[in-house]
This record gives sequence, structure tokens and C-alpha cells, in this order.
Amino acid sequence: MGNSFGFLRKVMMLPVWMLVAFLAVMVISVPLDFRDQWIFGLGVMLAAFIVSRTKSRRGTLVLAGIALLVSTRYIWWRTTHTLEFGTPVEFVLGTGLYLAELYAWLIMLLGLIQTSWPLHRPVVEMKGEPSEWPTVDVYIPTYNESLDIVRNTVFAAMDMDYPADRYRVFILDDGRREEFREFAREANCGYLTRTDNKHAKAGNLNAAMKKTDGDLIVVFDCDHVPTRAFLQLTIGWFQRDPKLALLQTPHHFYSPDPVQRNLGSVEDLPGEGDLFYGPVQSGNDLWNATFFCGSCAIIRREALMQTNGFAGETVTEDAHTALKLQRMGWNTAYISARLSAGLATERLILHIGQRIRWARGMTQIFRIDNPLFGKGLKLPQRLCYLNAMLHFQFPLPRIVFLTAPLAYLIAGQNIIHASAALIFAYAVPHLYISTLSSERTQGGDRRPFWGEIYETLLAFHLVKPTVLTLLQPRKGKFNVTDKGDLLDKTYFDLDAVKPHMVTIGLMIFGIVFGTGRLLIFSEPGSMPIGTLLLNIGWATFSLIILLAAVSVARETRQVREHIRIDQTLQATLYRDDGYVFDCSTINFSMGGVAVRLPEGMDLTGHTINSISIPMGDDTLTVPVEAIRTDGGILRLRFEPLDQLYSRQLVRAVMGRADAWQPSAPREPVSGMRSIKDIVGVDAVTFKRILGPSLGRVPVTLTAIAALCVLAGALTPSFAQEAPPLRSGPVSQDLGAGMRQSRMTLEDLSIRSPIRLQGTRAEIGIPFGMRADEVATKASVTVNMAYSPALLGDLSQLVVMLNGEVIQTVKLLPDGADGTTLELEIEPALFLPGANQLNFRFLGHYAADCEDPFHSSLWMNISNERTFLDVTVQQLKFPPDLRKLPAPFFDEHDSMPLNLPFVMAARPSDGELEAAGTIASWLGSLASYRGFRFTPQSGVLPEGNAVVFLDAQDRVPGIERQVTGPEVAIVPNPADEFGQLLLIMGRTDAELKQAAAGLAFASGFVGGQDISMKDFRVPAFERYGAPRWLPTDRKVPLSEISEPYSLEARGLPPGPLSAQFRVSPDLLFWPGTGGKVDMAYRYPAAPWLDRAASRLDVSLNSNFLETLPLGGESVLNRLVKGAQTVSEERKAKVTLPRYNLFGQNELVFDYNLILADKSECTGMIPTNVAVSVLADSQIDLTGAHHAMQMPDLAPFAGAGYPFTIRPDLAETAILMPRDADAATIETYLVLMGRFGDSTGAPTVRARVTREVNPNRMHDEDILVIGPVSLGNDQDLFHGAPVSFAGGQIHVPASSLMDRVGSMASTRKRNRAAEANDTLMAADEFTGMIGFESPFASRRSVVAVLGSDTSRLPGMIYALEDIDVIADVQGDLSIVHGDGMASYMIGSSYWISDLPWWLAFAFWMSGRPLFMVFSGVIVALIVAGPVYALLKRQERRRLQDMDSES
Amino acid sequence: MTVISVHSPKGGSGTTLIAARLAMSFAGRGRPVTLIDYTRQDTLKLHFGMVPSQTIQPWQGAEADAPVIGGVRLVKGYGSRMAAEQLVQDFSGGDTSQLFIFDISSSNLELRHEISRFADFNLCVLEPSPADLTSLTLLDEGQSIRELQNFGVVLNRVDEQYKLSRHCRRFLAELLGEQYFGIVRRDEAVNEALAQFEVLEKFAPQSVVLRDVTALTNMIEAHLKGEPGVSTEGADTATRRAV
Repeated sequence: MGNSFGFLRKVMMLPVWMLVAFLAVMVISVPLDFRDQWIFGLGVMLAAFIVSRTKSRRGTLVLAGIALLVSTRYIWWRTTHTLEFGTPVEFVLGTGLYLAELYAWLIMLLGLIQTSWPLHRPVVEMKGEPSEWPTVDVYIPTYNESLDIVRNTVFAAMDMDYPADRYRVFILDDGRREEFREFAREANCGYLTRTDNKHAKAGNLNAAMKKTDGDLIVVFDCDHVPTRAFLQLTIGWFQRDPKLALLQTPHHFYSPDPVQRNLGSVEDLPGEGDLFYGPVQSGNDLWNATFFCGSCAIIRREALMQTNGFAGETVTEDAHTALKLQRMGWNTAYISARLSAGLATERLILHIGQRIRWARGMTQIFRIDNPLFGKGLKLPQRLCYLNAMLHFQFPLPRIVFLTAPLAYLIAGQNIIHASAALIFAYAVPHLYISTLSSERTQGGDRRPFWGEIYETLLAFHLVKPTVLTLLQPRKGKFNVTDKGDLLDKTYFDLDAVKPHMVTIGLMIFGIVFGTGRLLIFSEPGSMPIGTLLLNIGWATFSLIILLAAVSVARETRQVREHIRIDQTLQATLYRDDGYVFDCSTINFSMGGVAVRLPEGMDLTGHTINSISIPMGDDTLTVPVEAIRTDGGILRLRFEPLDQLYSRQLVRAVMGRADAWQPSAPREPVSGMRSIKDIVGVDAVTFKRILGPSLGRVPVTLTAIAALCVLAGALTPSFAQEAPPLRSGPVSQDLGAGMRQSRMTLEDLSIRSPIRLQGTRAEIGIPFGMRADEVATKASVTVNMAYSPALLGDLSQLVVMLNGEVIQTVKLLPDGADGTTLELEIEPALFLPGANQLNFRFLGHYAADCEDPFHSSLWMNISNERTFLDVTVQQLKFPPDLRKLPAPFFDEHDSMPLNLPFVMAARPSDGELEAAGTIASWLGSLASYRGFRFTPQSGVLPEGNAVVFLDAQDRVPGIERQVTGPEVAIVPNPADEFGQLLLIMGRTDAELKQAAAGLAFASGFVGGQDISMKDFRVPAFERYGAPRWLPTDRKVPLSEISEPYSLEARGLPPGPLSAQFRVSPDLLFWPGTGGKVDMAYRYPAAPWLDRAASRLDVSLNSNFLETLPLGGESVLNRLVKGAQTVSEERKAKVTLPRYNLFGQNELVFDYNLILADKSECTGMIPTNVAVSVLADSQIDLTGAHHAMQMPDLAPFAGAGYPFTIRPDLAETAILMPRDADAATIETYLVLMGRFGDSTGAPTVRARVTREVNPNRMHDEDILVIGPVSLGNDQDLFHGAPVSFAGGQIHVPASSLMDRVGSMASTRKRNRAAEANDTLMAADEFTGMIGFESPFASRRSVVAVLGSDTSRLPGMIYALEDIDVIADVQGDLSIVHGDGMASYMIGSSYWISDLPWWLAFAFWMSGRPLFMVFSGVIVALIVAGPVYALLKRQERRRLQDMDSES
Repeated sequence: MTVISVHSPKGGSGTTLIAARLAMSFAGRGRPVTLIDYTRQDTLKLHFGMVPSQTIQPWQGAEADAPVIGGVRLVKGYGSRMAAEQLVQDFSGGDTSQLFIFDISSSNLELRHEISRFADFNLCVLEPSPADLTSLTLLDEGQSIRELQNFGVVLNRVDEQYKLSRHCRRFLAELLGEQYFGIVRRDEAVNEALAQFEVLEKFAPQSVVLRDVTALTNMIEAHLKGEPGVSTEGADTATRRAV
């Protein structure tokens, strides 16, 4: 019952866990921009800080959870965003750093599993009669250690509280020394030796095993002195758990390790081993993965027999033996009570040697007997062992971390592809929280940043052993760690830290060099000051750590023959005059003791005879000799002791059960305090190195810092220039096929005044002539101004048409202020089709020697007041289908397309649909030139026109029997120069068929008419608009622009440009935008100033990036000499999403600077050519479609969302039944705009006159007509404005909604303001967007006017990009010259994003929600993890109870 | 009202010192103490800084006030006409917080017997010497000292530099168990203080005797309150339990 209930609960919890997992993935993977990432980072840091204040274990787990999330997020970001490298060197270095970070992350993860719940195993009482307790063999293996050391251990071991007949002590002497045999006999302990030294320590132990027979084997390294209680406090566990094979106790060192000793200035520093013998082994114990550390452990003989004794294959036999035991299913355990004490390695070089052995051994096990594989282990056990082995792979990553900033500082390589600010934003929370978390799990046993010092100390030495062993695990031999040596003088062990010194030198050089290079060589403004600061900060941290490591190499002199052990005990002193008094001891050694004398005790003239030291329930009194007294502290030396006394002394000093127990756990130290200590150590070392010359450094540093700040202030800002207005060419009909038109240069796409500079400059302006027209009279009017310093007889303006000179104008000083010239042009120079007008400026300010770039060499030609007047005569051609779309549209016509549509007075839906198709087709052809389609009925207009004919319609002057879907061209009976395009069909369907056939067809064979009966209308995919760049592949520039537009000549060569359209709803998230993979080519000649020349890339007038025009490397130039070559470079430029619109222009502007500008010597290169290669690609792959609606901007720009299907297959167009001409014109022009946007005719648009929810539920709805259409409550009840009572206003409810929607991320609603505007105007012309009432995620756009005749004007005005920029939000009203837009109603999304990506995107705008999610995930997950760990703890401790 | 007798089966073991120090120690803890000297030597006063010429008359009734030094009322019982029990009654005046300490001459076994009938605690002072240990067997004829109630032994003048001192201590501790009331170590400062007519606290404030008597006082106090003996030297065992 309970089981099934539990199962049910699990099933019910499943969605919760899936949600938690989903949120976790989101928190890890959702990318944020710089600002939001900082908000997120500060938020989680604050949360983590608060959690870290709680002291519970649950808090530890929550903190670990947050740390894991944030660090994984960092790694995810590094993986997905920063691994882009420009050069092979960057690739190698960057990958190295990335791998190192990956390693650190893995170690962190394993560490969390290992140490988040240390098991505090209590000691248990022995059971049963002492005569039945297990028998114990105590092994003390020795090889070359001195007897003085071994003696103490043997004494202490023999003094352990355990039935004397149930344990024996053996010296295992691999050194085969006679004095040891002698000592063993005197001390009455066992002495075992063997003939060879095979397998070193493991072999020694194995040999002894064969000669003894105790149930348990205790191993003490010869310097590990056990307390008397050792056996009593440990063996109980072997009685309790019959499967217990190994019980390890800490290796406590009563002498300071090299770091503690040589950095004596740091108070109370924990030993290096404290972390391992604290949280790590206790954590291992929780998972039954404690491993043997070679000494101070008890092993069950029975278990050891199964593994054939101690493992001898590796140099760390201890860990490997434990692993083998565990594979056999035996348990291991750890008691964290300090029950023995030993000597730490004395000198740094020995310490390093010992670690080399460990690192090699662990790596060997990793290779030979990898804990991840093989039988017998549970997953947590595998992971704990794996962590121990991987831990020793730290050398390479550590070196990488230390030296990574050099890549930038010295080599100038960016090995993390991100801005420094963003790196900070991601790395700071990751580093802070992981430090917080590890501080928490490591407590006072390892101070913050000291791990880095320990690793740094060893890293360089351990590279070889780890890497070589990883490759060849079976090589190398065992070396014994020497201990207890004396050091007779302080010296600096340079050998041990030579690599560190070199690295320090490199770091300092790097900082100075990097700063200097940046200050001296880079242009102000382009200086990546953030990157420099990041790298300098990093390098400084490395320096701090390296210096601290180097400080350890200063080996302090050690004069004491014996290690002092701090012990505070009550002792009694016997003065020679019989006075006896108490004192407290400060420290002991086997040679003497220091005591603090009671206050007021004066020893002048007296000596001390003896001292009594308490020893369990007894005391030990030994004769002493006073050495000296100072400040109330008396130092006494023990007189030479006989064996009995020294044995008792060992017992008194080292044998007490509580001799090594710390009175309280070490207080954790804050990161700040720790770094202060480390900097203190550095300062001392620095002072020692530099001596008195110190003190000038800060001045230099301040200067550098000041320069950095100054440089930062020079960063330029890019102002945007508003594009000028455009009015369009003017044409005047003169009758009889004669027409006069005036085109300003602005009409010919010259958007700004022409500025010509230098001694020779030229601009060419292309324009077109219709093929059915010839020029009869033409003139060009030039409005110009130029430098008054020009020499009139030498300076000229040459005006040319199609290469022929029209006139050469002398630039005389008196016309410099402004001259208007009217130049007649020989009409014969005009060509049908493409023409080009050129202005060439030849400027001179001096007769002989002049600087070609002198500032006085300039002239300006106005783009607005310079124009071409052309009078043309139309020609008569017979109607010919082959020429389509001419004459109705001629691509070389510079005039806007103006084409009447002749239709029925009240056209049917189908006729309108067919007209829409034709309008969109023509719109797509006429494109930027603009177009007007005026509907007419009954009469034929002059000129060209489109006529729709069905079976019923009769247009006067056209006698034609409609027999099916047909297209024909006939002369216009109303105008001899005009032609008519007939679209015919007996039914609406046939009419549409004919129109579609025309719109899609290309290359008619000729003739006057063609039947479209067999034409099949092609279908379009969503987002399949031919003009929209596809997002499933990269598009080469050659596909979207003419080759000549990507090439330029001359100096300056002028901008190159490429136009393209994209779907307006592109969402590159999580990327930042599209990309241009560009290749560009330019001449690299000696005249080019390579450092100053550049290529600027901008998109839609927004500057994107400057690309360098570097030349060949210095080396090549030296070898080959300076040569003129064409240089080709590649670059990747991001097209940011916020700069991408429906229609875009990408501009590449070469800015070539001459190297030598001095007077008279300048050689101006001529005919310089530059290009952007046509195989450069625009890469929009990976973009999704998503748009927050309603938004009228993409509608105005690209007909969005209707044009998602370019043939408008999902669009209903609602018009009034009695639509007037203006409404129809509005409709036609809109279709023209749609066609222009997509490049596809709107063949599947559905025109309707009634609201039909059933049909409209899967359609977007475009409403065109009078405001009365808004009275349809079914359709318009969701609109942002209300039409009730004939007055358009914002409903009150929307005004109220404002408060609620303030929280949304969209910009503020302006309902009240909109209402004011609506109320003030007496009429309404505008656009409204809202979500369709018939289907979610469908849109309605209503183009409404109280006076419909104003509607076409509103749409035509959209040709002006300034007007179009004003259209946005869900309400846009004609207001004065432009449009006023408001966002009032609620919004919705149109997107093809998968739900999870949509959520991620939603989240990316809400960093605080992400903080919240992260904390919630950590909190929720911490619950079950807590329960799991708690259960595991109970199992580990209780399990054994149940068996007892 | 509490009565403690201090006695040694062998003369010269330092009962007077122990009695005097105990009295001062208790007085220092705020108890009104009356120390009654039943020895002939009249050396008790020396421990309170009095000179030999100052004499305390045997108590004969209420005719003269007993001197009070350092919170201890000194009464000479030796030569008094009054019975010991009568003395106690007279002085107590019904005040139950009163503490009476009797310093009993080693030879006066009868008095020891008499007082032990109403004493709350009988302290036996020994020196670490074979003679003292031997004399212990003659304390109560026919009865093993192990069976005595409210009885404790303190080892005086212990000097751990000497083997016999250490061994006696260990022997007694094992032999007596709960009746073992620790040691008071030998300190030459005690003698020198007497010679200088000074109180030990002033003369040698660091003397181990002071510390040891404090420990002894603790044990007696605990015993009087009916608590089990607290060994001041059991720290080792206590810690072991805590591990």
C-alpha cells in the first residue's frame, strides 16, 4: 500500500521535476546581453551571499546548487559564444584556456559531490571481553629513516592502550640495519626484514604479512607517532562492520609544512593536508570511498588476502590497495579524530618530490585501473576516486590559468571571443559564487586562494610526471620522502621556483609591454581598454599567487633538533631551594619544554631541578636544565634520558588521546582577509628582492592608470545623420507624344551633395531612358561652389554624358561662392536604357609644386539644385508581348510608374483580386521608383493602361470576345502612343488565372495575345518571398547585387553597397544578429598608409565595424622588399538585429589614406580599384521568426504579417461592398507595396465584403475602407480604439489597462495621449493593428479613413522613409505631415519558435526572473538531495548498528 | 553546621598545616569557620602569621573572645575543660552554615574517636613514607579503614622527584579508591613562610600547596554535598569519552 502510494507520489512529482530541470536548463543556457547579465549576476551573487549566511547543511546544498548553476552557465556561455578564433595561434591558446576551464568545472562538480556532506563518524566502544578483541599487528615500515625518528614511533606504538597479549609491534626494516635490530631487541618489539626491496613499501608490507597473523594490520609510517588511544578508538568499527576492510585516520603533522614554516608571517595558517583530512576524506566516507593513505590506518587481513596484499603496481600503493579492496565489495571508513601525529616534509624540494610521486601514482591508477570502469564500484565511489585522480591533473590547467593573460599582453591574441565587459559580467558571478561555495565546504581547513598557491607551487614540477605517466603509466620508480632533516641556514631554493621566477618575469614584461603597445601604437578610440584592464587584472592576480609561491622557496633556518609541539598543560617546577610551583607549558619537544612562569615568579639566583608533567592519571617528573628566561617564558632542556624516561616522555607528550585534538574547528577566513595575507607575503618577498629601491613602482602604476582613464575618455561616439527628404522627379506632358521631365541628382539616388577633392576627382551618376522614347532636347543645370584658392586657368569641371564631354567649365575665383550653369546637351548623346552623367574635377592651387591633397582642392555640386531637363518624343511600336513588361513598365524609366487600371464600376471580388495580382507584379518591378495605380471605369485613359475584361464588362472602344483566361496587348484607341494591357476572363476565376499567368510568366514568344488556360499558379512556402533572403543557407552577394556595385575605382573609390530584404520578424536569438562573411580586396602598395586606411562597414546608415587594410607582414616585406600586390582579407561582421529592417542597405566604404602627403613628392596613384568579393556571404542561418504584435512598422515596411505567405494565401482583404475608387486605389497600391516587398504577386489574396468568422479563423485580415467598417463589433471588439458613436476614441478600459501593462517589457503605452490626438482631430485617417478575434496569433490591420480619398495619399507617403519610420505600435494616425503612432492595446506574439525557445527568449528579457528561477531550482533540488544525503549518512552509520 | 576532623595516625605528617590551610580555604569561600586546635604544640597560630610570643588561651567559656584571623576563628581546645561536642554547640549558636575543623594530635586517638562520632568528615593526613603507611593500619583497631564512613586520606608532602613519593601516591590511589583525596605536594616555601611569620598566600602565592589544598577543598565540599568524588586529574579520561 505504502509502496503504491509512494509510486503514485513519484508519478505526480514527475512534472515538477521536469519543470525544475527545464528551468535549470534555461538558467544555464539563456544568453543575456551585457546589462542583463550584470543584473542577473548581481542578483545571484546577492542570493548566494544571503544563503551563505545560514549555517545549516541545507544552506550548504542550496549554495552548492546555485554555484553549480552559475558556473555551468559560465561554461555554457564559454562553449557557445566565445570559441571563435581569428588566427591559428588564437585557436591553440584559446582552446587551451577553454579546456583548462572545462577541467576546473569538472573538478568543481566532482568536488561538490564529494564534499557537500562530510560524514562525521563517531568513535565506538569496543565490545566484549578484552581477551576476545581482535589481534592486531602494528607495522612500522622503514627504509632509510634515522633511528631517532623510528624510536619514538615504536615507543608510542608499544604504549597503546590495548591488551598486551593481543597486539604486537613490528619494525619492518627494508634498510636491514643492525642498530635497528639491536633497538628492537632492547625495546622488546618485533623486527622483520627481507632480502630484497621489491615493490618498495608495498613489498615490505606484503613480506611482513606472510610472517605475522594478526586479524588486523595497523600501518604507521615510521614518523607517525600514535596516541595511546589509537587502537581503542578505532577497532570498535571493525567489530561492528564485518565488511569493513579499512579504517583511515588523519595524518596530522605536528611540525609545520614548508608553506607554514616559510610563510611564518601568516598567522595560524591551516596545513596543506587539513583540507584532505577534513572535508575530503569525510566526504569520501559518506560514499564509502575513503581511501588508504599509507599510514595511520587499520586494515583487515582477511580482506587484504583477497587482493593478494598491498598493491605494488603503482607508486601510490595505498590508494590503489583501497580501490582494489572496494572493487571486491569491502567497505572503507574514515574517522577524523587525530589519533597520531607525524612530521611534515621539511623542505620545499622534498615536498615537491613527494607530490611528484603522488601525482604519478594517481595518474598510474587512472590509466591502469581507472575507477570509472571495471567491476564492483557504485557510481559515487567511482566519482570520488575519479576526483582524487583527476585532482592531480591540475598542473597544465593551472599553468594555463596563470599565463593566459600573456596571450593578449604579449602576443596581442584575443583568446576569449567576447568583450572584456561581457567576460566580466559572466565570470565575476561564476568566480564569486564558486569561491563562496568552496569556502563553505572547505571551512577553515583551506583558506581562499591558498589552493591556488599550493597548486602553483607544484604545477611546473608536476607537468612532466603527470603527462608522461598519462602516456606511459608503467614507467618510473618509487622514491622515499625524506623527513626530519635539519637546515642549518636560511637560503633561497632557486631551483625549486625557477619556472615561477621566469613566469613572473614574463608577467611583468607582459603588463608593461601590453600597456605600452596599446598606448603608443594604437589609434585613440579603437583602444580596447577594457580588454587591457581585464588582462592586467588577471595578470596581477597571477603575479600575486606566483610571488606567494616563490616566497615559499625561502627556506627558513631551523635550529631545533626536535620539533616543537604546542601543548598547554599544567606542569610543576621544582626549584633548587625546594620551592615548588605550578606553571603552564607552551610547547614541548623531545629535547625540552617551554613554560610560562606564573606572574611574579622570579628565578634570579635559582635553578630549576625538575619538571612534572601530567600524564593520564599519572605524572612524569624529569630532571631539567634551564636554558633561558625571557618575558616570563622559561625554556628548559631535558637532561639526557634513559630509554625508560624517553619512552615515558613520548607517552606524556605525544601519547595522550587528546594530544592533537584541536580545541575548536578552525575559523573560516574571508576571501578579503586571505588575499590580504597573500599580498602581505608578496610584499615581504618583494621587499627582499628589490631591497631599498622599492617605492617608485606605485608612481609608475599611477601614471599608467591615469593614461588608461584618459584614453578611455577618448572613445568616439557615432552620430547618425538623418537622410534627406525626397520629392521625386517631375514630368510634364506636352502633348503629341512629347514630354518634358526634370530629374534632380537626388532623384537619381544621389542622397547628399557631391564633394570632389584633390587634383583629380570624378563621380558618375547613372540614369535611364525609356526604350520607347527619344530625347529631343536636353540640358543639365549644375549648381556648384568651389574653393576660391583654385587657379582659374588650370582648374576645371568637366561635365560628360556617356563618356562624351558636354562642356569644360573653368573654375574662376569669382564664381567660387556659388554658380549655376545651364549646359545644353546634344540629344543624340542619350541612349535608350542606361546612361551616365559624369562630373570630373581637375583642381590646382599652385602652378608647379603642389600637394595633391591640399585642403583648398575641393568643389561641391548640389544634389538638389543640379538637375537634368529632358524633352522626349514618344515612339510608336506595335503591340508585342515579347517586350513585356514594357511599355507598361520600362526599367530604364527614371519616372515613377503611373498606370491606370480600367475596371468595372463596381468590380467583383475576383476582378479586384486579379487587379491586386497585376498591381503587385508591377509594384515589384517598379520598386523604389514608386508607382501609382488609379482605378477607372467606363472610359479609357490616355497613355498606357491595364484593362480588366470579363464576359459582362464592356469597355467602349474595345471590341473583343472573351473566350477564356487571356492576356493581350492592343493599341489604345484613346491615345495613339498608348497601349492597353488586357486581362481577360469569363469568370472571376479565369480573370485571376489570366492575371496570375501574366505576373509569373517570363519571356513571351511575341504576338499580341496569349491564353493562360494551361498556366499553373505556383505555391509559396511561408517566408518564401523571393526577395527575402533565405535563412536556411548563406547567400552570396553575387545573388543580390550586380558585380559592378561591389567594385569601385579611383581615390576615393566611393562606397560600395548591396541592398537586400529580409523578413522583418527575424529573431537571431540567442545570437545577436546575422553575419556577413566577407572577403575584400585592395591594392597593398607603398603609397597606401596601411595603418590609417580602413574599410568601414555600415548597415542602413548605422556604422557597424571598421576593418583593417593591413599589408604584408614585416617579415615578408623584409624578405621580398616593398611590392605592390593585391591584398585579400576576410572578416566577419555581425548585422545586429536592431539594425535589420525589411529593406536594408549594406555599405562598404573604403577609406584609403596616402602614405606620403608631403608637397611635390606625392605620387597620386590613378585608377585604384577596390572590391568586396562577390562570394562574400550574408549569413542569416539559424534565425527564427518571431515578432511581438501588433506592430504597424513591419506592415508599413513589408506588408507583414500578410506577406509571410508572399502570395497572400492566408489573407482576407475586407472592403466595403460599394468600394469607391479611392479605396480600390489604396488596395492596389498596398498590393503593389506587398509585391515590391516580396517579389511575388499576391495571387492568392482573398477579397471579401463580409465578416465571416468561419472562413477568417485561419486568415490574417486586412481591412481597407471608410471608418464605418469599424462598426462591425464581431471584428473590431478587440481593436485598440472604439468606433462607437461615430467618434473614434480609445475605450476607457484600455486607459485602465495601462497600469497592468506597465510591467510588460514593451515601451510605455500612450493611450491617453492617443485619445487626446483622436479627440482633437475632426477626421481620421490611419492604420490600426490588433489580434484577430477569430484566431489567436492572427492579425487584423485596418486601413481606415473617415474620408477615403485621403487613404491613397497616406500609403503613397510611406515611400518616404521618414514617414515610414513614424509608423509603429498598434495605432498610427495621419498627423500633420507625418504619422503619429501609439501603442495602446495588449500584445501577442507571432512566432515559429518552439515553445522552449520562446520561453527562453521571454526569459532573456527578465534577468531577475532568471535569478529567481535559479534560486528556486537550487532550493527545490536541495530538498531531495538533503534527504538523499541524510539517508546515505544514516545508512553508513546505522547499517552497522543493525548488524551488531 | 559541619564538622571536619583532621588527624594523622603518625606524628609529624603535617596535620596542622592541612587543617590550617583547609580552614583558610573554606573561609575564603565565604563560610564562617572555626578552627579548634587540639594539639599541645600550639603551632597552628604560625600558619596565620602570628608570632610565637602571641598565645591563644585554652577555651574556658565565654570569658574572652576567640581571635578571628582571615575569617577563621581560632580556638584552643587543648587544655579546655569543655568537651569537643560542647564546644561545637557553644560556638554554633544554631547557625548551620558554621564549619568546625578540628586539628587532632596524632597520639590522641580517643579524641579522634570521640569527634568522629559526630564529625561529618574525617580527614587522615599521611606522608609518603613507609612509616606513615604502616601506621595507617593501626588507625582503627579491628576495623579496616576501607569500611570507615566519611573518611578520606590525603597524602601530604609529596615530592614527585622521588620514586617513593610517586609510588606511594599510585599505591594509595589504587588502594583507597573513593577514599583517596589526592595529594598536597611538599614545598619548602611553606617552611620558609612559617619561619618568616608570614601567611603562605603572601609569601609564596605560587606555591603548589595552595593549589593542591584548593583541589582538596573541592573534593571535601563535593563529598559533604554527597556528590561522587571529582578527580581533578581525570581530564584525560573525560576527554576520551568526549571524542
